[in-house]
Amino acid sequence: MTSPTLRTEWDDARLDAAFRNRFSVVTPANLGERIHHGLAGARPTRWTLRLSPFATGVAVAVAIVAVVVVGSSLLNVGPGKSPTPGVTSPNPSSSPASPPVTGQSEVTPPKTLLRVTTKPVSLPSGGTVDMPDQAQNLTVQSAADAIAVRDRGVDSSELAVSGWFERNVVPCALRVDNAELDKCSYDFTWLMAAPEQLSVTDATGAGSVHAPVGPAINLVTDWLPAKMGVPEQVALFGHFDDPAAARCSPDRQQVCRDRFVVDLVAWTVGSLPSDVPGFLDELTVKSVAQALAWRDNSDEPGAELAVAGWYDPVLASLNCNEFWAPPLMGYCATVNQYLMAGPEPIVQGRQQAPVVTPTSLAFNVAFGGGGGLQPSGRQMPDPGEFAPTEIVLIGHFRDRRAALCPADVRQVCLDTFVVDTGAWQDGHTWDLTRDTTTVPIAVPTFTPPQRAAISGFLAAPGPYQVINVGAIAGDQIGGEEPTMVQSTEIDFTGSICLIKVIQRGTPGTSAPDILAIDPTGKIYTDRGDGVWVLSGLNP
Amino acid sequence: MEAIVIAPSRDTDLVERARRGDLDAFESIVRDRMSAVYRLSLAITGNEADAADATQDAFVAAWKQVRSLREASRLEAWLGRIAVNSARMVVRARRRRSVREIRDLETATMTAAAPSGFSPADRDAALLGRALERLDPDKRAILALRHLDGRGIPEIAAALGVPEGTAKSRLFAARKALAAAIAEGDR
Repeated sequence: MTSPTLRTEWDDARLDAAFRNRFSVVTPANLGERIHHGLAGARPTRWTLRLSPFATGVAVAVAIVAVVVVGSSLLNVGPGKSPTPGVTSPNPSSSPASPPVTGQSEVTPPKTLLRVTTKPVSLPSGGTVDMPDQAQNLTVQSAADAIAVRDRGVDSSELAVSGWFERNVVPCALRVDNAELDKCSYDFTWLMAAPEQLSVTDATGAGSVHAPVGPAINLVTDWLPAKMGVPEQVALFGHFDDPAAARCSPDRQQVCRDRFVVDLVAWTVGSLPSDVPGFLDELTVKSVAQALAWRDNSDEPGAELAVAGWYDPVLASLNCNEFWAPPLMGYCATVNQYLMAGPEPIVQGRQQAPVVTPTSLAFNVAFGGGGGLQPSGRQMPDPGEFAPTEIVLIGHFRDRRAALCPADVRQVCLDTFVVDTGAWQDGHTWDLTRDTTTVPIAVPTFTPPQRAAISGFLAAPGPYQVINVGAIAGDQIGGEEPTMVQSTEIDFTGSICLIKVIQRGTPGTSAPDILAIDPTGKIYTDRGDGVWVLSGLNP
Repeated sequence: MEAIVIAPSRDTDLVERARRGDLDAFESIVRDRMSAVYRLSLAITGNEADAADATQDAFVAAWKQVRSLREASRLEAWLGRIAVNSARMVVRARRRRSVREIRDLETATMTAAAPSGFSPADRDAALLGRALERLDPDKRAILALRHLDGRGIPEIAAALGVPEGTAKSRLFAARKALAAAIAEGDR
């Protein structure tokens, strides 16, 4: 392959030798170690869909845009934001997904903005509904189209498919599951081309589930829509011909190959979980999607919210040695705590099993008191089987303590929902009475006047929810609350007590407030413009 | 990668295990190919620090994407493609830096400008190094795949993700540019 443009002596052999000589270098001694560390922080994914980060151009010409934020980090796109203002999708709500499934480890979903455009489609029964049209760069196919693709010869290309999905009680109690793609429940899990009521209750109250009459594909997913027995529009990313089909029994392999393994729920009309009250503690209960929309688009992202979703109480002992850390955020204790839009089990196998990042719409939650794992003064009810439980939590995003988080996790901290109290769980309203038992008012560095002031404040009725109580040396207070040092009234000798409070019970309440108690027991507040004034909140 | 003889069955086993999430298996692949990927990265980036970054990026990216590697026989082409892309990305990022570094290879090139005391092979290497500096990363990549890794046109095409005809014409253009750069450097 000697090029005529090279001088004759620079032939292939000479070039080969020159390259080898030139680049015959010793590999840096630490390169192997660097790679090893890099690999330890990553893991394989089977997700091959190419999502362009924040495909902002998509939205412009589209009539209806639903934007969905999903779980975690795979595609190296930025942290998720959520629905855009003016979204008119039919209640752009939850979008849970499944931990699949395959013989490979679980799918790690992208923490990204999925832009899903919708268009009206006609229903067989008359009328129209909005169904997904484009999801990122993929055209969303109908379930019927996906069947045609599948039957032309399956491959494992990533597809976006829309249809109707009904949550049923499946008759699988007595059947033993075989291979991972051949679980009994998957025989009763369908994505339907048109909405059909699959659950039937007869006059005696006995229930049954029947197969769809119209086109439908079997799904492999543990995700479930929020409501039972109601077909819900969804758009799913996934694939046929999963390699795990090879582990199905010979007579079931084609069935397994034809199943659609769900990698991600891209879109759903969503709804509040069943039976959740719409109004609690003077707050309108929002869905997870609505809460995310509020967080990312509201002028008051730190306002108090009541949010309904599913919570899977992850044990602190699960791969977590940092749960003693300050009850915010980006730490082990909170990164595994999620409020999810659907009942997705995220602790597979329980006990020492790793926590699976939800593939569904979800956000991290941190409990402001009690070490960050439980609501202050209240033991989180244990659902027993570690199944996700329906819950309404009251709290806020954009906690100002996020400023204390390391820079590389600060956005995670800001995006974490700090729970001020639980409000409802599994049909039971919680007692919202402020519980002070876990507030560390007995910290030795507090002076008796401070302890008295704290106790008095906590005991006094008022619209304030205590988020945290802590102490800081007076001469270091400038690093914590720099504006405070401008006050000539505050006694900076000894420790200053800081109580973080939030005004609750009023929708749209503005950002959290902080109280300071100096060693003499006087209480001050930041009136909002950086000026600390003697407070009338508590005598 | 350059002249690495690894039993195909070993590769098959390692790739299959890696695809199932076996990190140890993947690290065996890393150990087998780290030097070759590093040298290829060095040829493209021309800078040891950047080459190390690119090598690390390449293997981390490969690990994340390992499930897309359906056939062990495609390992070389697949990894080569990832390595080339990583090196190009690093070069692209380096262009954005405002401070230009004096690199080890560059100082070696400067030294080589005075050829006394160098063997013909050393002189060739120095000339080549200086000439490569004048080429863009894409040309350096295709030349390195051909003359450092010893790949044929089909393998180069697979590594670059282009048709064979395109690979052939790009290689021709790269060699033409290299010839000009060598001639200029040899004046």
